[in-house]
Amino acid sequence: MQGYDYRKTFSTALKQSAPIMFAYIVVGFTFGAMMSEAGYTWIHTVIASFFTYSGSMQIAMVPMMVYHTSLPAMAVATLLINSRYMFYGIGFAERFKRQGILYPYMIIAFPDEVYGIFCSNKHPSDVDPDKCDLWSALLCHFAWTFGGLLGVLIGDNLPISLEGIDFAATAMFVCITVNQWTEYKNHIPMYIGVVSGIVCLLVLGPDNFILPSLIVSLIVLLIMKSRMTAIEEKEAHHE
Amino acid sequence: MNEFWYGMAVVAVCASVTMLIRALPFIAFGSGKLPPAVEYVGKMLPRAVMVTLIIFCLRNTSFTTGSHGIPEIGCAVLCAFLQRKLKNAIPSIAISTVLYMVLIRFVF
Repeated sequence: MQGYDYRKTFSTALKQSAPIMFAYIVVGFTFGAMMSEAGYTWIHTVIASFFTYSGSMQIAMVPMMVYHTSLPAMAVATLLINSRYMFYGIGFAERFKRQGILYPYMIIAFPDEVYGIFCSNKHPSDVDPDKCDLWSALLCHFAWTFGGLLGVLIGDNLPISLEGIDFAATAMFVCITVNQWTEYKNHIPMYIGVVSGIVCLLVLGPDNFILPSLIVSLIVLLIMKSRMTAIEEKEAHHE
Repeated sequence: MNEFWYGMAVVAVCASVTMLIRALPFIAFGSGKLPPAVEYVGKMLPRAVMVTLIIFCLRNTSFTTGSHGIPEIGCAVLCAFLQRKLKNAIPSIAISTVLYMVLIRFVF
C-alpha cells in the first residue's frame, strides 16, 4: 500500500476546483438574488442549490416559478434541460463506488464543471485520487450552495458587478480540451463533438441543441467503434 | 397552495428529476462488468463532450449583433494559447476571464 500525502491531496483538489468555485459563488449568488427578487426564501434557495445543483435549470426555474408554472410542466422542463447528465455517469461507476457510503453523494453532486474536473485530472502518485475526487466535489458543491445563500440574503446590495465571471467555466472547458488534444493523438472524437455541436446549434437553436448534439456524438462514436478501437490500439503500440 | 409551499414543491420536483437523471447511468451500468460498447463510450464520450460544452457555454453569443462574439472567441482562443504554453489551468482561466470581464465592460 502506497503512502498518500493528505495535505497535498487537499491542495490538489483545491487547485483544480478554485476557478470553478469562484464562478460557482458568483453564478450561485445570481440565482439566490433572483429567488429573493421573486419572493422566495433562503430555504427554497438552499434546497434548490444543494439538491438540484444545476446552473442552467435553476436560472430557468425562477421565471417559470414567477408565472406559477404547474408542477408536471416543471418536471418536463427539468427533464429537457438536464437530460445531458444521463451521459456523464457512463464510465464513472467503478470510480465513484470507491467512495463507499458516499457513492450516492458523488452521483448527485455531478454537474458539468465537476464532470470536466473529473475527466481531466491526472495526479502525482502521492495524491490519493479518491480523496481528491471527494474534496473537489465537496468544495464545488459548497461554493455553489454558499453562493446561493449569499445571493438570497444580500441580493442586490453588492457594490460591484461581477458580470462575465461565468466565462471561467468556458475557459475551464477550453483548458480541458487543450489537455485532451495534447494527451490523445486521436482527435476524431473531438471533431465529432465540434461538428455535432455546431450543426445542432444552428439547426435547433440555443435552447434545444445540447441533448440532440450529445445523442448524435454518441451514435457517430458507436458507428465508428471498430475503426476507433483500431486507431486507439495503434496509438497505444506507438507509445 | 400558498407561495411558500408552491415554491417548496417546485424545488422538490426539479431536484428529484435532476437526481433521477444523474442516477440513471449508475442504475443501468453500475453493477458488474461493463458491456464493451459502454466501456468504449465511457472512454471516448468525454473527449467529444468537452468541446460540445464549450459551444454550450457560448450558445447565447450573437455573432451578427453587438460585439459579434469577439470577446468570447478572442478570450477562448487566448485561453487555449495560454494553456498550451503554460500547461497550468489556473493562470489560463484567470487571465482569460479577467480580460473577458474587462472587454465586455470597457471595450465592447
